[in-house]
This record gives sequence, structure tokens and C-alpha cells, in this order.
Amino acid sequence: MMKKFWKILAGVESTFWLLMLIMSNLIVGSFYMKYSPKALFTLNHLPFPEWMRTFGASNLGDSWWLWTLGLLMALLAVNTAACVIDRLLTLLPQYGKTSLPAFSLKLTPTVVHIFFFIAVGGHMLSTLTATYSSMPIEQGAIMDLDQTHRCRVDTIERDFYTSPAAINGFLKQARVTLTLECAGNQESRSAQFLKPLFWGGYTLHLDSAGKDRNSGNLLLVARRDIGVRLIIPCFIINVLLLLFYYTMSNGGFRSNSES
Amino acid sequence: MKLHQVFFIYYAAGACYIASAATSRSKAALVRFILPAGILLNILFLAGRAFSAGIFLPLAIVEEPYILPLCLAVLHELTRRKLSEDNHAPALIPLVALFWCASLFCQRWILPPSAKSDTLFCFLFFLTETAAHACFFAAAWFAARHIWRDDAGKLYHSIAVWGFVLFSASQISGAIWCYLGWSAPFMWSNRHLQTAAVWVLYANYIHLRFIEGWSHRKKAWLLMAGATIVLTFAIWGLLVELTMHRVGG
Repeated sequence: MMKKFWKILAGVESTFWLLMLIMSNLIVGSFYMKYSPKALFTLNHLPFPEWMRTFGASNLGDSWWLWTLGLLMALLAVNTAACVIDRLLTLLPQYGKTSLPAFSLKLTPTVVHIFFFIAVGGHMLSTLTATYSSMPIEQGAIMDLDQTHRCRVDTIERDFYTSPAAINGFLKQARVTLTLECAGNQESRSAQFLKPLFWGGYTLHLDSAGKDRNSGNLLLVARRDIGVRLIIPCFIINVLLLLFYYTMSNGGFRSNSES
Repeated sequence: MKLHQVFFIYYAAGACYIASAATSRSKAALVRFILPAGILLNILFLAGRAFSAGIFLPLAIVEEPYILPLCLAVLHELTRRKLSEDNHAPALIPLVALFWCASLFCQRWILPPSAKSDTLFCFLFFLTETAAHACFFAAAWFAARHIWRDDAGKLYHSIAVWGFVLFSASQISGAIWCYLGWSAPFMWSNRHLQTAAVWVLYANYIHLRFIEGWSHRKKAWLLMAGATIVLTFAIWGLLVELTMHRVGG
């Protein structure tokens, strides 16, 4: 009985149906994001528990798919973990019996799944804990990030295209100099579009305020997100591993027997 | 050179693609010259498009409607040797011509530069995403041939796999771009959820070889369904872009 349960839990068939359901759920969610009230978009600016209290609870008709997505992702995490354990139990006794390159190739998909698992964990951390605050940028404006971190806008520089005529007046780049204060210490640093500033666990980004990106109205965004430190490195490693695996296994044909 | 003049190069590229499609069965040797000429003209057009506003706008190179025929033509050249072994030379050429014709209905003018798109990650995102889409369409094309004509071998599997790797690479460059520009690697938005759905679909496809009972025919059907979803989302994206301000007209 337990063996049968474990087989289902760690089985690729379960992965297949879970991924199919997740894909359908994401497509449904994409429609809700497009056509539902703006409340859904605020999910980007609030940790999930806070969002649930403020918007989610009163918009259950529009947010139900987030619950099913969370449930399916949790099941996929369990399935991935079980699958990895099952595979390692099969593979590890083979260590030393085959050549190291062949063993590495066999191990690669499992390692990919481990990094995928960590990346999904990073996404969960971001969704549950990331904080976001923003303020319009004006000279002298002050933003309190928390009780100990504060930043003040000192100077603002905007650079617009002047030629060619077709793009004359379009915003090219902007730069703000900030005074950052933490526990009595002050330092002056600057942030630009696409060049955020890393400080005290926060990243300070420059964004456009309003719909018109070329108005020159700017927004300072402060975000604290530990999940991102897992998501991006894990996905980079995974793509490199996929490149290695599919190059070595001839597009996934050579190692069919390993299943 | 003005943008409308640059488009004459694109028409010439299209003429090469259509001529290749029309003569691929009867004059295969001729296609070996015409198609590379089309590829070269398509590259020249994209370069000209990027410079047509008076400054270099790299994103004008990677707009999907105009680079997709090029990606497919290059993919054809890469797979040609493999295909000619099976004596199926026409392969992707009709698809190249079809997407070239479809691109004529798309926005001709260029998206203006913006402070938030001035990064290599943005360029890489669109480039790898379009290359991945080309692989997905090509895989579906070969899968259809596998079902209805029982040819093209199982080449569609390799192409779908490489499409998935490229698509994953596009997701990373997109995530880094999004993080630098919008402060998070993933946003709860229509576009991001659609992209995630496509990634999950092809991630699922590569798991199928471990499941008993999934014949090559069934896998081929899944690839065709996948390409239909990708195409629907791509058209959706193009419709959204219709409302955006453009320059060059």
C-alpha cells in the first residue's frame, strides 16, 4: 500500500497531470489579470497575506485561481521532492560503477529538479514576504523604509532625446542622488533606470510615474525581497545544466533508457 | 534610408522565401541559393530597420513578426542536412513563407526607445523568445507532417527540446530585465502568466518520454496544441502592441 502511494507521489504521471492543471490554471489566471479589477495587480506590491486581508478576501470571485494555483504548486513541490529522492535512491548506488561523465549526465536531470525546487521556494518567499513601497520623486522628498532606514532625494537629472526629430523629447535616462541614513550613518548614492541601488537589504529602483513614460515624472521604488536571490541564480544554473544535458544526450534521445 | 524604403529589402527577402517555397520540390538545387539570399536580405532589412530612425534602435531588430521568418529560415538551414537524408527537402520553407506573408499585416513602424528597455537583457529576451517560438512552430510543423504523412522522423522532438532550452533562457533574461526595471523578476500580470503557462506546457512535454503509453503520435498532437497556444498568445501580444505609440511612419 505504502509502496503504491509512494509510486504515485513520486511518479512522472502525477507530474504530467499536475503540470497540465498548473498550465490551465495559469491561462485562466492570465484572463483574470487582464479583465478583472485593478485589485489583482496590487498583488505585485503587497505580501500575499496582507493582500489577502485587504483585497483578496473581498474579491474571492476574482482571486480563486490564486488558491488553486497555490495548492497545485504545493502538490508539485511534494511530487518533485519525492521524485528527486526516488531518483537519488536509484542513482547513488551506481556511483563508481559507471564512468564519471556518464554518471554526471544521468544525475543532471535530478540536479535540475533540485534547483527548480529551490527557485519555486524563492518565488514562494517573494510572494509571501517581499515588501514594496514607492513615492513620487521630488527634490527633498523623504522616504522612511522602516524604523532605521530612511532616504532623501537630493538631486534629480533627466536626460531627454533631442534628435532625431522622431524621438525628440522622449526620456532617455534619469538619475537621482539620494542621501541614505541608517542608525546615524549617512551616505550619498545614486540610482538610474535599470541600475538599482542595493542598500541595507533593500533595492532602490527608479520607475516612471503614470502612464506617460516620457513625462519625466519619476517614482522611487524600494523593495525588500529575499526570494530573488534564489530565483535568478537557480534558473541560470538550470539553463546551463539543460544546455549541458541536451548537448551531451543528443537532444534528449541518447539517454531514453535511463527512465 | 527611410523605413518605407528599407521595407523594399524585406519584400525582396519575401520574394526569395516564396520562390523557395514554390520551387522547393522541383528545383531543390536552386533553393540552396535562393533561401540563403532571403536570409541575407532579411538580416539586411532588420539592420536597416534598426538604423532607420536616425539612431540605432536594437529592439527594432527583434520584433517578432520580422525576425520570426528569419529564425525559421535559419532553422531550416540547420535541419536541412538531417532532412535531406530522409529525402524531404521542402521541410520548413512553406512555414517561412507563411510567416513572412503574415508579417505584412503587422505594425510596420518602430517602437520608440524607452529608458527601461535600454539594456542587453531586454534585447536577449526578445531574441531568445522569438527563436524559441520559431522552434515551437517548427516542431509543430514537423509533428503534423509526422502524423499526416508519416515523414520528418522524430526531428520534432529535438527541435521542441531546444525550443524549451531557448525559452528558458528567454525567461532568465526577461526575469533579470524585469528585476532591474520593475524591481521583481516576476510580475502578476497577463503577459507573465501566459509566458509561464507556455513554459510549463513545454516542461511537461519533455517529461513525456518517461511516461509509458505516450506514443510519438500523441506527443506530436501535444506539440501542435502547444504551438496553437503560443500563436494565440503571440497574436494577442501583437494586438496589445497596436495601441502603442510608434515612430518612423
